[in-house]
Amino acid sequence: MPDIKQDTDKITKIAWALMTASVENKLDVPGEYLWNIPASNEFNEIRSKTWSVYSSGNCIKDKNLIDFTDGVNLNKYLRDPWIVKRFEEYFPAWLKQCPRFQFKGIDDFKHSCFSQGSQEYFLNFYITHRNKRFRVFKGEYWWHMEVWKKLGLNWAYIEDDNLDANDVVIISCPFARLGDEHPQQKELLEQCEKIGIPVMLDFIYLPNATFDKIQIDLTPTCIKSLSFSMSKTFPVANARVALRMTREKIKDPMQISNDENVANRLASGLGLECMQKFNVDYMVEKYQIEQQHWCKLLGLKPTKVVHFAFGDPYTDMGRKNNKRFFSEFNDQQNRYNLGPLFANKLLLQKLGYYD
Amino acid sequence: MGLEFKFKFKNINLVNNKYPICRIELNSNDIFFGKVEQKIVLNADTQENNVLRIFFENKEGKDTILDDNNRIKQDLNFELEKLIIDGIDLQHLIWESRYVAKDTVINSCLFFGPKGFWELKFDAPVLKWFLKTDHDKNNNDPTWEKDYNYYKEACQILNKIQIK
Repeated sequence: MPDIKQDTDKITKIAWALMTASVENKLDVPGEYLWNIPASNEFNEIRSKTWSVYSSGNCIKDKNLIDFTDGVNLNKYLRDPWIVKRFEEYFPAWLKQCPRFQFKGIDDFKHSCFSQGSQEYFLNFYITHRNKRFRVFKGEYWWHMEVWKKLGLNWAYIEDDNLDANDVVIISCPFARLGDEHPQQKELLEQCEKIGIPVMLDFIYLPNATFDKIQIDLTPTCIKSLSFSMSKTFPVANARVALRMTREKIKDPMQISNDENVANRLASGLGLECMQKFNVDYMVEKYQIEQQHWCKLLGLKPTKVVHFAFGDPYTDMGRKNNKRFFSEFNDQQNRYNLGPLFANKLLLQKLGYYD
Repeated sequence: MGLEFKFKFKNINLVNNKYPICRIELNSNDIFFGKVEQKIVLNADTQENNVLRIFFENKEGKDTILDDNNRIKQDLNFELEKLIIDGIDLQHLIWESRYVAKDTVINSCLFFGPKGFWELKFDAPVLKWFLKTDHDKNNNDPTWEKDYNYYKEACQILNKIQIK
């Protein structure tokens, strides 16, 4: 395998072009988060935003999906008492339609519960296990650590201490910072099974995973819950569409609200319509070729998540300035989000950056 | 079409209804003459290297009134608060200037007290000069030139395309 020579100059030029285009309202798909939208065309304002162009885990802002969600009539779901249930029932079926996903034992996770974004089921997990010690690998979704620190909850990186019976584990698969299975995932699950440590598997990046076959053994009983979200898959993150699947029905606040039939019907309706219209791996089918194109052009290495690539750290300058976005734990190191490039293909073609 | 200059003045003190008058000169060409206002906005052509001067035109000895203890009771004076050239707020770099009075030169002085002129030397493009000068002074922005070039290129190529 020849060494890949990264074109950091081009990567940086594109970042500047996208952020300048954002101010000039010339993006194919405008940004949707204030941290990524320059407030003015002033040099330092644009410069600071260029550091975050590739740093998030956010989904691809696919134009077809945006056009589709723009046309969904959500109001009708507000008075539909069955919509959340339909969402919960449809989600596992939708997931299993993908022939590349081969989950051994998934049928044991028979309790589905709508969640208002992944953060709701995380919070409920924290509440349930508030007297335990939370464990994650370094590079896990920063929000966990930020919340644990703010709430004064007990936690430690898996790398920093042995696992024990008072621990609970969360692990994303594919792993957040790597865009691939964490190399110690198998070993971790074996240990958790042996010690009896409850595990939540976070599948937020699963729909965008490009593996030819994704074979995951869900039979270890330590795996108590599976979490899914549409936030990193479809441009509906701010609608908060997510789902938790568990072996047993968990009597936590999220489930109680769900049983009361007061879960978010608009989000459920939007999620259901997206599932009915688009395959779970729609983004992989559409953008894997773009991932390869951009990686070749910029000298990056594709990850197993379609909108991520690896390279030399880009946000280096931002980090030197102690600028980690939102949180000291938000360190994406050398992971690049290629989504902004996919979403703004036409603009980048016009600017001569695509070829 | 020249660059826009925005001057902001503060503490404009009159004496016996007499207003301070200034003359603003860029590269030896007058670009303004008149009463000192809180805000003066002008357009003027720049060169690669520029000398900007603000002359305190109408200060006279009688404009400083002393009390019985020889302390200044009233004085015709004003201060430069802010200077924005081509949209670039020079911020602390306005202190990289000097005030030249009859017998003295005072570095980093934005106070127009004695008759004389305030002088700032700057280069165009102003942003490039600002970033370089700031880094030369504080040694805190080693990538300023690369980033300036990225910014310039982004602005240029985006100006060339028509969208929507």
